[in-house]
Amino acid sequence: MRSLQMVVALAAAFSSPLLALAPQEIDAYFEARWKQKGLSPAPLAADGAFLRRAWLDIAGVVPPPADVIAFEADPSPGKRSHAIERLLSGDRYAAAWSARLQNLLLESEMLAKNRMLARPFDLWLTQSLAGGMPYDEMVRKLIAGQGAVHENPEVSYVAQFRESPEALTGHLAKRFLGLQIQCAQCHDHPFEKWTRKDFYGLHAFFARVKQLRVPVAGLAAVREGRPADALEMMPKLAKLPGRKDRLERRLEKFARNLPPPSLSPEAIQSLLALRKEAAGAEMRPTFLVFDAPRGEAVMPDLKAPPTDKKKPVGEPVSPRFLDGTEPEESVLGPTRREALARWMTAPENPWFARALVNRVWAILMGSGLTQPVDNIAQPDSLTHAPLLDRLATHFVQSRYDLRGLIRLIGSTSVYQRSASASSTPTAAVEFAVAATRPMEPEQLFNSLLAATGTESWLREKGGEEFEVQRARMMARFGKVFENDGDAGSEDAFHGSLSQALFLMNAPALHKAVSAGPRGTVREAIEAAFRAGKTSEGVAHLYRAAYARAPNPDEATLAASFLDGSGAASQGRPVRGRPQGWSDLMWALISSAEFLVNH
Amino acid sequence: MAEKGSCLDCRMGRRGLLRLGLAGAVGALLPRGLLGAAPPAGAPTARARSLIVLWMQGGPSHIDTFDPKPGAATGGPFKAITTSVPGLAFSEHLPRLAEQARHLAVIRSMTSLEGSHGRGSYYLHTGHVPTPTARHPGLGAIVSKEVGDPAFALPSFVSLGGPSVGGGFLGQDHSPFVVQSKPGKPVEFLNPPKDVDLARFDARMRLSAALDEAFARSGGVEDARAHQALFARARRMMESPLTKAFVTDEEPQAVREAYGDTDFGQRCLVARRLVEAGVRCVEVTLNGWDTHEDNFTRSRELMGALDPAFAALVRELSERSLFASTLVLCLGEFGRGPDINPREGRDHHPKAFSVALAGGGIRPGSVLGATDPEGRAVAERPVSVPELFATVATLMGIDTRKVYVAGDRPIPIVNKGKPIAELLT
Repeated sequence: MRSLQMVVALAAAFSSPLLALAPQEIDAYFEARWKQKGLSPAPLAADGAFLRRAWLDIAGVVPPPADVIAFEADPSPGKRSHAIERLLSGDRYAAAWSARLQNLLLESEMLAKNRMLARPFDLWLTQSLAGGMPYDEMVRKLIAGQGAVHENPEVSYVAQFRESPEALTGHLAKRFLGLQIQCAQCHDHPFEKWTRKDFYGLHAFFARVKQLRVPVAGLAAVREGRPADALEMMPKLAKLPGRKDRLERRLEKFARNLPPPSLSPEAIQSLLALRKEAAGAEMRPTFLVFDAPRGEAVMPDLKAPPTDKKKPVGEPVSPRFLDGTEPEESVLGPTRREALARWMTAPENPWFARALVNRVWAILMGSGLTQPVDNIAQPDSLTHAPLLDRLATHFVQSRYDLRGLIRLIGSTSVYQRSASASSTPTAAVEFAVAATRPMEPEQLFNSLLAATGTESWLREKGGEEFEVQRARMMARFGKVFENDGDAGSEDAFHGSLSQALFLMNAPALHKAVSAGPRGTVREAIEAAFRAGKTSEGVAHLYRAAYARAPNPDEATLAASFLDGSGAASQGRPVRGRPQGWSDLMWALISSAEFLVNH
Repeated sequence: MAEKGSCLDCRMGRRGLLRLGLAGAVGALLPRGLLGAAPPAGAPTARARSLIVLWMQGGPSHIDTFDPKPGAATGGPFKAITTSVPGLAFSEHLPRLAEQARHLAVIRSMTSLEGSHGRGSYYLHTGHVPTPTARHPGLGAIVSKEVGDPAFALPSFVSLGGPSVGGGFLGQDHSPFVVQSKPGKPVEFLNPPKDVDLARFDARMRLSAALDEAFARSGGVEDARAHQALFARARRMMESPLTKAFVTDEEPQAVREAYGDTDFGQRCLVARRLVEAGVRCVEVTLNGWDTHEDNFTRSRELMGALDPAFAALVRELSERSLFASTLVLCLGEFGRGPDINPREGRDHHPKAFSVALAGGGIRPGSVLGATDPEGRAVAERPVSVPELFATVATLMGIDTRKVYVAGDRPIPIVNKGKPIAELLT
């Protein structure tokens, strides 16, 4: 394979690739680098800063104030590792990483046209992550999955590229292998080895993928042996050449080959129920992804005059892996895609595990071991290649255990550095100072709900399921949190005007910080009352928003704001009035410190 | 298939976008030296100050709108009517626009290869085919970046009713301010919550500044600065009397009625008001043109919304002497096929379609290009999407030779298109 030399380059500093990698080895690697480059690392982050970061990274939300207090009070030396362990086994982990993987795997422009893909995909990812599905298995399903979107949502990944099948080839190489081959669609790559033949060789694995929009009821009819009824409901299929009875036979055969659903019957029902509001939900379409028995890819002749894009002029290409080998006809299996999925996720594949560990590193640390995150093709230009390789072999040895990888990186002291020290480009590349990054849209939305106490209030109130309510609010307000960038570590701060106006003026947010019968502000007022001093209440708000108590300056500022003596309040006495507390909470959750993960 | 030569990250180097710092995100993401590196010849003299894009989402049938083929097998049931330009005919369902035709320019020979909504919409919004290597800015974002005034109280680019296409690598600062609420009503979240009076709002803002200062002291200097700058911008907008431009209550009833009793029509009225207020680009979306079924019923309804709105806009702009300084561009992602399918629909057809323009230095009363008698292919003077973009950019005073640099990738504003000389006055 192309970059076996990467493995050879493994630094002697690391333990044998056959052993599990210890967090201390990663720390030793960086300590040696810092020494060599004359960098002094930032101190370890304070407990609160660490806890907030770990919660945002693993659970996608800021921690509750009670957890902050308990964590700070805990004298045990292993408490940081325990916190990570607890977060990884909690409910929030799967939901948060599902949101993140969705951002990486589903392209927003594609989704805009195919809204029906997102919700089932989220369910499937959450379920797979919660169940600890190994990453290689997950990717095999994404690449080779068959079935209907609402039953086998893993097909959404392939389905989204219905209109641009070539984009799928470039996307999967980038996301799963960290290779930038998309340029080779049109020309041989000037800097890397990729040729158009490489691109179309990979593309050819998908040459037989077919997609069909069918009503949910039509699919049921096929399953229940009523192909004639199904045909009625599928005018597009009925348009295909061939006699009706032949089509019916084909549908019957097709039904036999449909895979069992990956989602539970309850999950499928709940998905369909979500769409019930609209009359005739049964006639709403779903996407079927399957493989035809025949079909070959064509590498378009770029010199030929432009023609209908559906029938390009060019030379036929057969499937070929990116390392130049070809699948044997006998291993092509029921679908070509399975052969590709196996090759991609094989332990010997030089890119697969590396691409993932670099991605997870970037999510946890703010940037990849090597940047750009999705470009690891050229071993000689990688930064931190030995560590990347060692992490990759560890990941393979661990049977592609995502939780284990997060635990390993989270347990290093390099993950736990402070972000408050001043940084330089070199210090950032060497991870001597922790990175500061804007919250992801989901993190921000969830954190606003949690920090204001709105979430626990909604949960207590009962009635509609919290998740349903949350989804509705996200649909109503989520737009203002969306940003233009590529999700992941390339993101820069993207505060939009709409977002600022929302934070300043949205009645819903104002209500969330107002002193209602419950919620964080009410808790703060009560804490201040019980203790007989405002500082207790101020500390509660600071912990809810920043996961730390205020420093003395901040405490003074808040106290003077609340009693009306400070410059900020300009003589508006708010002592004893809930309004001052509400304003302090507002200022905290709309501040720069709240809006970033640091 | 990606356009040849559009592959940007191959040209200059293999490293993709450099990681952008916070400072980069709030300022321009381009290195200053490179940003200013426009050819010394400089930008063309602007003919238009503002741009209004009427986005026909879904891809309108050219044959049923601006390029009628009466009598042809593909012509459909609509009649053609004469317009105020001799020899130019429109669909019978565009009678008001037909009256205004002497102000319009119609290109009947647009052609593209992008026949899917996602790709076509991207192409007709950005002038570039989608590539996985760069996220191109939409036309409105380019206008905002090139001629917008960062100190202006309203956003330079407003999208009414649709998401439009964002700032791409130009960043969030140039993305559209999207208004999807009921047209003609105040913009959401523009006023403080009702029990927050001005004094309280001010107190909140001062507290916010104090908290950001504290964060700056503990290392978050750039975040704090970006955050305060954004809040200041939002506040400037809140306090500006110009936001009244979003509200149409004070317009005479006759004016509001002239635009038609549709969301699209009322949004076109808002667009006129925004342009008067000084906004540089407004995009108004009319969705629903993807008429694979019932093309004729649906196209007629959609023209019922488009016709009064577009016509009133052109008439009002000319009455207010805003016509010369406002360029109006009416387009969708592609045309629709000449063959009528069994469901009385027409399918996607990028091979030949029409675009209408008005004002802003466009030669009025002109028709450019032609399709064959069936409306199937371009028969005369094919016009590419980059040519259209070069024309619009030139009229807006934007140097089409300018090359953006995102990270280390050069990306020309217009991908190899020349302005259409025949359309310029």
